[in-house]
Amino acid sequence: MALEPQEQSGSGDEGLEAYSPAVRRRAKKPSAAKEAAPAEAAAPPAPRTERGGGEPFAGLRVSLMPSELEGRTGPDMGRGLMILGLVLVVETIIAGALYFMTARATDARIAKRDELQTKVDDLDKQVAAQETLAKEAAAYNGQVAAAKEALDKHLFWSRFFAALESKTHPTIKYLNFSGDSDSGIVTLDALGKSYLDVAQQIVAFKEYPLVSDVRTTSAAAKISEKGEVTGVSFTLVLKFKPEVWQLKPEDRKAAMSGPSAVSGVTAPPADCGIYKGVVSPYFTSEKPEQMDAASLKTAACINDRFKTCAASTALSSFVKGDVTVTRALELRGPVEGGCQARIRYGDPSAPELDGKDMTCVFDPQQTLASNMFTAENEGIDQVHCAGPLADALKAARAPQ
Amino acid sequence: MESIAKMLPIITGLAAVGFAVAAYVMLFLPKLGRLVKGGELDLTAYEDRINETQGYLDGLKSTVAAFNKVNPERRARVQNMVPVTADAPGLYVQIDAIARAHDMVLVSVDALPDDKPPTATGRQGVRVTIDVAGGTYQQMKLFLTDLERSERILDVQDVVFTPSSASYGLVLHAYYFDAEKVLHPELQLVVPTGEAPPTP
Repeated sequence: MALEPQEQSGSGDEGLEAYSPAVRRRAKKPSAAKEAAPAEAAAPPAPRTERGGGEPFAGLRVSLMPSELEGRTGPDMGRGLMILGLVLVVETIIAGALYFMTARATDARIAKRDELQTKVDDLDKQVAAQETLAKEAAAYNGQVAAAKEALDKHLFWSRFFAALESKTHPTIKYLNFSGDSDSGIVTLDALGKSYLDVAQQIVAFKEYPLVSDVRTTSAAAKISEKGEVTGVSFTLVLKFKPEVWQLKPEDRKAAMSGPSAVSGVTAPPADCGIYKGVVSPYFTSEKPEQMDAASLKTAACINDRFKTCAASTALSSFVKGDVTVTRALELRGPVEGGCQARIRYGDPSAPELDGKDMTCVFDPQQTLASNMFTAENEGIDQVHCAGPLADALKAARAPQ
Repeated sequence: MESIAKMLPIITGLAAVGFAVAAYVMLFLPKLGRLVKGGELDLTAYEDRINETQGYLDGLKSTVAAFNKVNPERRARVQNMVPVTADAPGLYVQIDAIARAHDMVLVSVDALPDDKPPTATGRQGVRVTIDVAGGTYQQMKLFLTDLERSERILDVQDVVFTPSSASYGLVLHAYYFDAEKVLHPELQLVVPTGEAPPTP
């Protein structure tokens, strides 16, 4: 065995040599030299160390390498295991660090997710609150669109009747009327004075561009006991074009801008004030030197507004003998054929007229005073007055 | 022993790779799987939803803000023209008021919402049948004129009368905006333009 001492004899150094190849290597040379020079071998060995003199001591060299392996280096098992251990330790450290970082990233992502979820919840709450408010806005938009659509197809029977009247022969009277704006079909039971009148009426409608079809289903003469033709009754079936019920947008605005009879729906008319007439109650500015400033202002206001038929009111008073008569005038807005006006009469001396009112259509080509005068006198039908006052005025003028 | 020692570097390499793979599969893969796109903790969907909701909310806010700028009188006018319900009682009162204004009597009135579906704009009709008595032909024309200019939009469809009897039968159409039906289930968000309401 390499570790077994080859020699048990000798000095202490020899014994060490047996366990140390290095020592043995150095020792071999002296033993070879011993063969060559026994004298030298017999000589006492020089002292090993001498501090301060001779060859310095190089230290103890011990080699565990077996002699048969001398000069060859084999794999180091321990070192390899140590490297393996180190690699695993380093990997464990790296894996731990990465795992720690990943765990932190995960936690951060979870926190971020919770934060975003909170934000989503908050936004949802805000949306719910805003949606409640926005519903009203959305409904408003829908109402506007629906109103526009309805107005584009708005029907004006006042225009229709104006057209019908304008094309009606003066001797023709309508007994029954039935009209449908959807189909455009209007059925009229009418009475004329003669067949000629009936024929002229039919031709008038046929020539009217807004009538697309005219049919007469029957015509019959009414004969008196004396055998004379007193009238001809007939039935007309007319088909009107839709345009007869419709207005152009610009005309539509004017036609609908007047006040409605429904209170609170439209803006109140402008109040021009009180007028104290000197010559008449008709808002004239005659003899201005005798009028007060307020009356002049009222006259100017109501006459000015009549020019555009802007909704407005004014009250006039006029001393007639011992009585003060009043006229409450309301301009209600444009209608087919003129400006709609309402007059309320105040005359304590005429109980049949006092407090009554009528509605007329004033001619915009005439002055306001002229229209009022016409309405209260012979021309009451010219300005299409209707209402209790109109009836009372007509009755008052009727021959007894 | 020597052969094992010779294999140690390879064993070391394999152990290192094995350890790394095992660590990845057992430790990182479950965590990373939650973090990557499409994973449980992928926040893209949240961010997208927030962006979308925020955009919708901004739209709502601008709509409400624009609506709040609309003149209240204008709003009231539109509400009168085409209310959000059929409002039959309101129609009774308005038509009666118009008739009274012309010394006529509203004998009967009947208002029924149309069975037909609303138009594309959400306009729904109400069929109103009325009988009016009294008044002359002139007053009837003035009555019709006031129906035409009523702020609640009224279209007269049929007129039947006998002048001598002073009795008039009319079929009208009023309109309303059926908000419940038209705006359900989603709001039609259109920012009010601030334009004037529709004028006749």
